[in-house]
Amino acid sequence: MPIKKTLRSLSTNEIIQQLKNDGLVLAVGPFVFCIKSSLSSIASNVQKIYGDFQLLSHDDLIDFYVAIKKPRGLRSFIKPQINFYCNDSSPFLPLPASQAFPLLEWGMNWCIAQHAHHYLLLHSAVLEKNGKSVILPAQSGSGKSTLCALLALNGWRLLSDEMALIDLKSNQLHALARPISLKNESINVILNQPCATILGEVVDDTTKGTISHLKPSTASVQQVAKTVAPFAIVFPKYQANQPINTKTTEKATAFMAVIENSFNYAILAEAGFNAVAQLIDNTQCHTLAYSSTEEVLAFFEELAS
Amino acid sequence: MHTSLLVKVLKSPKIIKSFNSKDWNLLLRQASSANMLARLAYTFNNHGLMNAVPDKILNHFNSDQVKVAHLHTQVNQEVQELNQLFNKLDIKAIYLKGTAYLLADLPLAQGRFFSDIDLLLNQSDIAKVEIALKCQGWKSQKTDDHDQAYYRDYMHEIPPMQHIIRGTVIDIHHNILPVCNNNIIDISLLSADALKLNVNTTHGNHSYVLAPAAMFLHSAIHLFHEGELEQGLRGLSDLDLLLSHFDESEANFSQQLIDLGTKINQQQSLFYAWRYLNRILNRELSNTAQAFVESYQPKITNLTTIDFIFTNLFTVHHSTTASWRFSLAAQLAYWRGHLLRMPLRLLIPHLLTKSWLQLSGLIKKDSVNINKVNALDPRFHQLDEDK
Repeated sequence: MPIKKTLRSLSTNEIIQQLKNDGLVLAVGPFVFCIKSSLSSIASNVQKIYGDFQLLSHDDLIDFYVAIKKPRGLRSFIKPQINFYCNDSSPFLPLPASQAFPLLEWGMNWCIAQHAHHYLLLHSAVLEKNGKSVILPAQSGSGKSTLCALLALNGWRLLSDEMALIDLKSNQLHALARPISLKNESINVILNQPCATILGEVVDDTTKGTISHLKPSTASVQQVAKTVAPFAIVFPKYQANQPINTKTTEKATAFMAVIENSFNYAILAEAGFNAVAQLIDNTQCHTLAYSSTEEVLAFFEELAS
Repeated sequence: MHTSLLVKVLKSPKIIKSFNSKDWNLLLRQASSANMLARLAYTFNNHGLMNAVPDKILNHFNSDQVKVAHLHTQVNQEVQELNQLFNKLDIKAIYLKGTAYLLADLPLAQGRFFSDIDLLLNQSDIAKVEIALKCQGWKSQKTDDHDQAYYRDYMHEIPPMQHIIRGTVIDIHHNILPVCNNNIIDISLLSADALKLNVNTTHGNHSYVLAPAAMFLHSAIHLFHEGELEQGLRGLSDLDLLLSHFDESEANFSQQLIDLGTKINQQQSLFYAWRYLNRILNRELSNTAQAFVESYQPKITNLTTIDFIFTNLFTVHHSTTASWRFSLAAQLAYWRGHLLRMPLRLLIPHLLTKSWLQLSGLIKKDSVNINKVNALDPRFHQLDEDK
C-alpha cells in the first residue's frame, strides 16, 4: 500500500504558496476540500491544526472549493473584513479579518451540512472507544465541545466535534476528525488538562465569544476512514457543582431529540425517518447531567467497557 | 478562458465517458453554480450514462435530487391549500413555470429547482385573492411606497407575497409582460386553451396550467425579455426539454407555436428560442421551424448584437468561464432587459427614485445581503433552506 502523504510533508512556504495559488487539497474524512486563501492567519492555523491530514492534488476528485478572501476596495484598509466562498458564492455576511480561521471552519461545516444528503446529519459530537461509539447531540452551550475534547484527550477516538454522519445505506458512522471548536471558559479547562494539547490561534470577540480550535489527535486522523456502528446516544448537560446524574431516555423522547438536532431530517423525508428509527432501535439512549471531569470520564469508561 | 464544459455536456452527454478527475471537478463546479446538478443527473439517467459517473460525484447529484424532491413535496402541499382557496372564491387560477411543470407532470420538472409559486389570475380577481391570502398568513414582501406603486402601476404582477411561517413565496401575475410595455399581450389569447388540473375536490376545480404551445411561448417570452441571465442556461435547457416533450406529444407542434406566436405578436421570442436552441445546444429543428427561422425578419436593427449577448450569456456564470466578452454581454443584457420592460420615459424616473432612496438610506442599499446569514448562527442551515 502506498504511504499517504500528509500536510506535514510540506514546508511553511509550500503551504502558503498552495493556499495562495491553485489551492491546498486536503482529505477531510469522506470529503475532499480545496482551500484557497492568501491570509497568513489561515496558513499558520491550517499548518498547526491540519498537519496529520492527507494531502491530495488537483488530479483527485474534489467535493468543495472553499476560499477566505478580503473584499476589494477601500474597506480593506480601514477595518478589514473577510468573506467565505464555496464554489464562488458567499453564503455568509462578512466578518472581521481576525476571525478568518473560525470562519473557514464554520464554512467547511456549512458545505457538508448543505450538500451531503447521502448521510443523516446530526448536530453532535461523536467519539469511539473499544469499538463502541457515542453520539453526543446537544444545543450550543450545553458543554458538548468541552466534553468532546475531554474524552478525545482521554483515550477516545474523535470522529467529529460538530456533526455525526450516518450513512443512509449501511447505518454506519463516518468520521471527519476535524478540529474541536472550544469557547470561552472551556479553552482554559482544556489547557489545564495534564496531557499535551495543541490549540490554534485564540480569537476574541466573535458572536460566540472567545474561540480556539483544538488539534485532533494524530491517531484519530489516521483512523478517519474507519467506520463504526452507533452504540449509544448521550444527551449531555453541564450543571455547575452538581453530582453526576444519568437517566435512560425513553426511545420516543430520544427520537424527537435526535430530529431536533438533525441538519437534514426534513429534506431526507422517508429516508430520514427510517434512518432515525434504525438509529434509535440500535442504540442505548441516556441523558447526562454532570460537573466533575472525573465522574463524567468514569461514566463513559464504563459505557465503553 | 475555459469554454463552458457544462454546455458541451448538455450538447453531447456521452462525452463524460472519457472524463478524467479534472473534468469532473470542473463540471461539478459549473453545474452547481448554474443550479443544474439534479438536471444533469436526470439527463445522464435518460442517456443510460449513470455508470460513467464516479461515486463521489454521484453523491452530489443524489444530494441535489433529494433537495429537489423535498421542494416538490413542499410545493404540492402549498398548491393543495391554494386550490381550496380558489375553489372557495370561485376564481380560475393558472399555475405558471416551475409549479406548472411539476403539476402537469412534465419530464423537465424532474431535477428542477424553483423559488416561487407563479400564478396567473384575471386582473379583476386579484384584490379578492390578495385579501384572502393575507387572512391565511401571506404578506407582501415589498413594503415601501415606491416599490408598491412600481409593481401596481407598471408591472404585470403584484409585489410577491411570502408566507410568514413557511417562507414560501407566491408571485401573482395578471399578464406575462409589464403592462407599461409597448407591446402588451392579449393574455386571453394565451390562456384560452388552459388545461384543467386533475385535482379531486368536492368544490369543483379551478386550477389550470397553460396549454402546450402557450406554455412553451411563455417560457420563451420570459427568457428573451430577461435582463439578468445568471440562470439563462437553465432557461434554455427548459425550452429544450419542453420542445422535446411537446414535439412528440402534440401534432404539428411547430405550426401551433407559429400560429399562437403570430396571434399574440411574439414571433420574435419564438425566433430567438429556436435560433439559440439550435446554436447553443445543437438542437435539431423541425422543417417547419427551420423554414420559419430562415425566413423570419427580426424587428431589430442589429441581430449581431443580440447574437453577441445570448451566445456569450447562455453559459455558466462562474470564475472558470469569466471573460471580457461575458461582462460586456451581461451589461448589454441588463440594459436591454430594462428597456424591454419599461419605456425610457418611465425607466429613467424609476431608476432615479431608486438611487435617491438608496442614497438617502431610506431603503437598504445592500439588498443582496438579505439572503445571507451570520456564519455563527447555529440555525444557519435552517435559515438557508428557507430561501
